[in-house]
Amino acid sequence: MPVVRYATLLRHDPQLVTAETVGVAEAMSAIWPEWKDRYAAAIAALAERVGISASGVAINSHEEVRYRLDGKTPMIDLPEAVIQRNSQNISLRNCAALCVHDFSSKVWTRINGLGPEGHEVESLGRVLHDYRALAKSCGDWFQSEVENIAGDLLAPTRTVNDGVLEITTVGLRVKKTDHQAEDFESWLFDSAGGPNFANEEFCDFMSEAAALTDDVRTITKKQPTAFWMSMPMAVRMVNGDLASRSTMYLVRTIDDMIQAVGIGLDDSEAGDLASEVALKVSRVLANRL
Amino acid sequence: MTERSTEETPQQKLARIRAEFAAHTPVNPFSEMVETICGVTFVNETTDIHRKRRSDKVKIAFVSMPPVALDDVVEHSSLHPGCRGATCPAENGAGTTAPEGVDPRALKRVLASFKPATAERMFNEFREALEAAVERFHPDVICFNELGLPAEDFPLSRAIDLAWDMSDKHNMLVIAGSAHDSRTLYNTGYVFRPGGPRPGQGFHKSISARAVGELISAPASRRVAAVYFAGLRIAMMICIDVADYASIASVVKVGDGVDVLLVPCYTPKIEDMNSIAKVTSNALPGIVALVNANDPDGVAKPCLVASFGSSKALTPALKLPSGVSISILDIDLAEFQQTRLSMTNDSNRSDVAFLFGRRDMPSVS
Repeated sequence: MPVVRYATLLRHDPQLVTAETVGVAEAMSAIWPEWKDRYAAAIAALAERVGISASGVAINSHEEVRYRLDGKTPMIDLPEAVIQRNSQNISLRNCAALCVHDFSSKVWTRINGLGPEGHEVESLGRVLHDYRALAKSCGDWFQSEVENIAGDLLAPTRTVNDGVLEITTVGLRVKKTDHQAEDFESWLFDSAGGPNFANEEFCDFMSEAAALTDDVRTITKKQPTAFWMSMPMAVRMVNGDLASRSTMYLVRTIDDMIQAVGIGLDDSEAGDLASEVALKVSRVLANRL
Repeated sequence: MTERSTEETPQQKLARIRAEFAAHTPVNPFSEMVETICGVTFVNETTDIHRKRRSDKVKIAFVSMPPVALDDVVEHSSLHPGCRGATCPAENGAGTTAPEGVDPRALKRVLASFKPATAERMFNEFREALEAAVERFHPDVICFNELGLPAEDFPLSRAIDLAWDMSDKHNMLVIAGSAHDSRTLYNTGYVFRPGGPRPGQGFHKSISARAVGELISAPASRRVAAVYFAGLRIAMMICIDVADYASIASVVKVGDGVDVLLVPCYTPKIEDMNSIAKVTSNALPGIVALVNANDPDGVAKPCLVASFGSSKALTPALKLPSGVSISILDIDLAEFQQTRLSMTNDSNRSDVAFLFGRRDMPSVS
């Protein structure tokens, strides 16, 4: 169950004020009824361009453009778009986090497969390649559309590109339910709490998910700013228990992008470890950029 | 959070973030093992339609019942602590004697029991309180104090029927503490929910309040029950369990999945327990509510709510002639989420970090 979250970082000088963010949200809401068809068509075309065949794109009619605060950050959420396919459908969401503090705004695109079946692990590299390509192209398109729709409202500020943040998270479904928490921990961690490089499976999955050309075991030596971090997440088991499960992330820079790629074993009832922990990690990193 | 420069390179940004994540507050060694001691378990399925958010707010009514006198105390035990060896006269002798070398005090079981007239009064007050809370406030959740559910030596079936009927009819959750059930020997609370099982779902106190002479048998599998209802993940525990580190730490450890902790109580020491509730509400972060009996002398507060590290006594919104006090808490879900996210983004929470570890921040290796 891979989830890709991709954000373009934008700095404003001077900083945005809340009234401007409300204005952008109102402009997006006002244009939405007529613009949503253009939005769906653009996603379909961009999906086709990156090699994702789609029979159509459906916009969730139960949702509307929403303005909310995520912590202290004003957010404008667009309704979910579902890329309909013969195989697994893909969920795509765009949102704009318009920062009114001394941090960058983020234009986010989140992509993940729909349904409980997930993907075969053999296809992980190809699926992530497609998701990343689609996330980047949709994110860039959405950013340009926001500028077209609400650029005048932001005219008093100078906006400069401040890089990219990508958080890719892979939840590897564990079908057997008789595992103990210790089994999951020992798969992921070495005795010192670092990544378990003695686990070939972990190394292979991480190498593929991060598209590494270097040995995963030596990546932090070759890239001194890279580091490993783990994030816990509470997930619900089939028997109703809440259990804490960890995901191990490799965090590094690639050109102007900060990339975090995480792998975790997922024995949750809904198979939602990846989407849940990805959101948590996204918030933690985004709130510091 | 560390300061950032306006012209940082991606490498500088990452170095700054790494330094912040790596600045660990020491964590006490007990916090790691709690999942092996106690767990949190949801009682409703993921398919339960009542999990969904209904509106922008969730209203919780806290019902504090008048105190009840323990009319009778009945001893129940499969073992006779005072007997030794084959001389035990009870139960035909076989299997009823205390093993040699075992402290007899560890074998004693004493249950609270109420006379029929007391149970009748409790039932009438319970019905009146339930109906008044529904009619006046239309709550999503009603939580009664410990001993709030009428009982003789186990809860009255008509009280259980009433609680379930009201829950089903009004689409609300009813949570009620009870007494020591003579069938299980446990101090048992119940949750009744629309579409849920008619007898309710029981949850048990895991520790004994030794200082007040409480002698119970704790369930072997210690679990904090939780229910996902109206957009809130609500955990429930009984009274002194809120003062038990393993119980609280097990909830905090899965704090991503718990918003509110409701604690039916029956105690004069609610202020002491409230200091723990405050810490817990900070650590979750979320809301912890202590629902006490309504002390007629007004010494022990009927209801204390700790919210994100701060605490307040709720002013009763309704008092009934029978001595019932009803307090109301409205939770604005957007505001709740906003506060929670703001707190989890704060890296300077060393107090809760030492107690429980940080579940909202990554660990850097």
